[in-house]
Amino acid sequence: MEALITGLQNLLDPQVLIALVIGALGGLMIGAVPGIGPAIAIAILLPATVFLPDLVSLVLLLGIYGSSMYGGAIPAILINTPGTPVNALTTYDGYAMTRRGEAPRALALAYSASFFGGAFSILTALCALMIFGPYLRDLGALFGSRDIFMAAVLGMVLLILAHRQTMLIAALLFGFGMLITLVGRQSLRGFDRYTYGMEELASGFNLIVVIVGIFALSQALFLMMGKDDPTKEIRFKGGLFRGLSELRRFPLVTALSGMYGTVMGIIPGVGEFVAQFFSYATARGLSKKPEQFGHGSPEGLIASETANNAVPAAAMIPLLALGVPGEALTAMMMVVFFDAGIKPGPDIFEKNPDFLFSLFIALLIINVLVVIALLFSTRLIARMIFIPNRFLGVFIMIFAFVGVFSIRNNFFDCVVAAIFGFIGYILRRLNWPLVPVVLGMVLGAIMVERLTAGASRIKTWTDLVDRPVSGTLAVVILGVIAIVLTSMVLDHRKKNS
Amino acid sequence: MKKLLTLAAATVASLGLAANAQAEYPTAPVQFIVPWPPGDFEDILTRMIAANMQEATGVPASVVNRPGGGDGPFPGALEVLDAPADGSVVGSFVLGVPIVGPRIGIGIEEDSFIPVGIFLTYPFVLAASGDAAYSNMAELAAHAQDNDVVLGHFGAGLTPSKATFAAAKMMGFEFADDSAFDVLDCNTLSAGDADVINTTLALIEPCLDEINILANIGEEPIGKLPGVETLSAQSGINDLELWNGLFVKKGTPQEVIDTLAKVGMETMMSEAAQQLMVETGAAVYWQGMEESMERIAVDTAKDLELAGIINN
Repeated sequence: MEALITGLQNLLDPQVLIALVIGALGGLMIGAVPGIGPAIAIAILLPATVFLPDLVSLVLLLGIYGSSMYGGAIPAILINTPGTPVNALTTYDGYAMTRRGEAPRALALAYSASFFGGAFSILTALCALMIFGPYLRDLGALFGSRDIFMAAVLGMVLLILAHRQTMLIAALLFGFGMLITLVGRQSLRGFDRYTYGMEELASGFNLIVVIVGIFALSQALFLMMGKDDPTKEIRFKGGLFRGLSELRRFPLVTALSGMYGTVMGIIPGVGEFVAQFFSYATARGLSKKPEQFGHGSPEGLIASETANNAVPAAAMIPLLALGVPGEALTAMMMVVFFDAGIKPGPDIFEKNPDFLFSLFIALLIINVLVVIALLFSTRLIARMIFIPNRFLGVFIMIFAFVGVFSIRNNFFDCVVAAIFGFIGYILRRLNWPLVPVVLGMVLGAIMVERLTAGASRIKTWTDLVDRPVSGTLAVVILGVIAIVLTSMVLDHRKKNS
Repeated sequence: MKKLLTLAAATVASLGLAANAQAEYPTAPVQFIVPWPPGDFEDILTRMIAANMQEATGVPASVVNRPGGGDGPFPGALEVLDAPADGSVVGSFVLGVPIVGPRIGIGIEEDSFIPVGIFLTYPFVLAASGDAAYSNMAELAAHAQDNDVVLGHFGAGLTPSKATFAAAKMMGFEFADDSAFDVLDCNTLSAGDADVINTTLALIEPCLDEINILANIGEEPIGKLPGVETLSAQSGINDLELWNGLFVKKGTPQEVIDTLAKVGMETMMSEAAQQLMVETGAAVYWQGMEESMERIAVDTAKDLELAGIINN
């Protein structure tokens, strides 16, 4: 309880409060503008967080992480264009409702569903923290180097399998990310790995520089080289307050979607898309009007928005407890945790309990702030949807380069960011996913570090899986692969017959 | 063509802005590179220095942790070596960087870094889990004759690891295997990743009552560890202290070094830093550039002596 109060007090610092408001409202606007998205915004801000006070930078990024999906629902519902990738499913029913003249109802439902999803997972995480937090260190004995290594392998497998249509590409890109982490001088082992004699590469690639390049600069190029979509007029009448209470009409779908989002968020590598898929499929299965799904079903909209917004808080759990991020945004948050002097791991509750409470309470406040802001400013935010792409591109490029250079006043970092920007641009043009590269870097580094640390206990491959947790994880990995491969074979047969 | 011109203009504009971001020290942000994960003494004290630096100069100063992933402090040290010699990137290094770095052919020379000052002597220990069959070095030596004992350390070539290997040699035993870790804490022992670990008291503070401390690496026993003798007293190797200091790249202007030294000294004399010393057993002080250089020379000789014992 003392940690809870201290956590709350930490948030009362004026700088933190300002960061909370800027993060929440900034994330809202960033989410509403198709073309930026939270990953790009966080990538641009990462260099700046190095110089901001610890909690201020964390709260700022959390604000963007926690609120962008709310904003992303606005263009998804009003113009059939998702503001962030995870709002894509929202277009199915949200835009159909708009075409029926029910835009305010769709927006209000999306906001209330998102709020429920966010609040549900935050409160679940807070309760879990209060009940199980003191015992986390005891659980730590179960998580040695080999267990964390296997957890990272599970994250990798789930991430690759989640890209069902482009599994091989996702695997290759994950491998590319791992290769990037291997670059550098192996000082105590006495050799250089992939530095090709370049002294600048002796200390390896800076993760922040690569993230800015691959996410932000590539998107800047993409926007600057692309065309603007023709402007569509947005008109809707009616207030949003009335629709908020409609969520109560669908308690089962709402609760189940919140649970799916929370559970899927906890599993590394799964994230919003799988959570939405399960929620949507379940909601359709339970609905009395399944034929409406995809044609303006309020239940479909609720399933999509509740599940995606339940993920961020839940995704913090494996990151904090094991130091294993599940997706790109939490991987970026991990960089900030380190710079804030927080080392995620089983003993985090013992060492930084107030920090944990600050984090989740901040997320809760962000959700409340965002809903209040949306009720009064949706029309204003909706105007931002049509900021010209080239303007956005130039804006992103300038901030990205200034940020990268300011990390350590090194021009070579700008060159590296530019190279990764072009690589990211090519991937975007090919419609290949960027996330596996970043997770390849982060999970790859964890795998190498943990395998090195556990090496003296690994004499044969079976030593990797002869512990309770690593063994269970190995079984889960094999099970998941078997299920996905079986379903692929069945799909293939069905298609051919 | 129009697109290309837009692109070129944006690139030039952004790079121009980036170049303007550079300013005279200390008006540009300062980064302190700690080549370990957060949480240990050097991290805590360097964060205090950064906070005081920011307060004194009004310029952002921050700590960036760059753990080596089994390669000790060297990846972080190479990052400082890569940075401009203007004080914008400062290293917070253990003695291994100036002492071991120049002898392993990684691009760090004897004079690559200038010590601004040494400020911390670690309460460094050898620890084993509470249920281990040994509670001092002699018992460990006897146990290791018939059992495999795995050592966890921060890097095989680093001074504390060498001291441990040299002590084992002097006492007539060998570790069955060893691994390099970024962090060696309670979890390393409880999860069974290693049987004996080389670590600092800050990292094992939460489980201090549940584990066996076999020895401390330092000139004197640690006050808060009654009955624990130094590694040198138990094994016959020479006394050794493990320290951490601030370093800048060769060629850094003297006024930058002076500013950093002033802030460093004031920080170490502050109540918060001195309180840390009282509570934890770490020695917190400020040793200026000249003294630091002399200390590096003395410790280099000691490190060579340890290497001699191991290789004989």
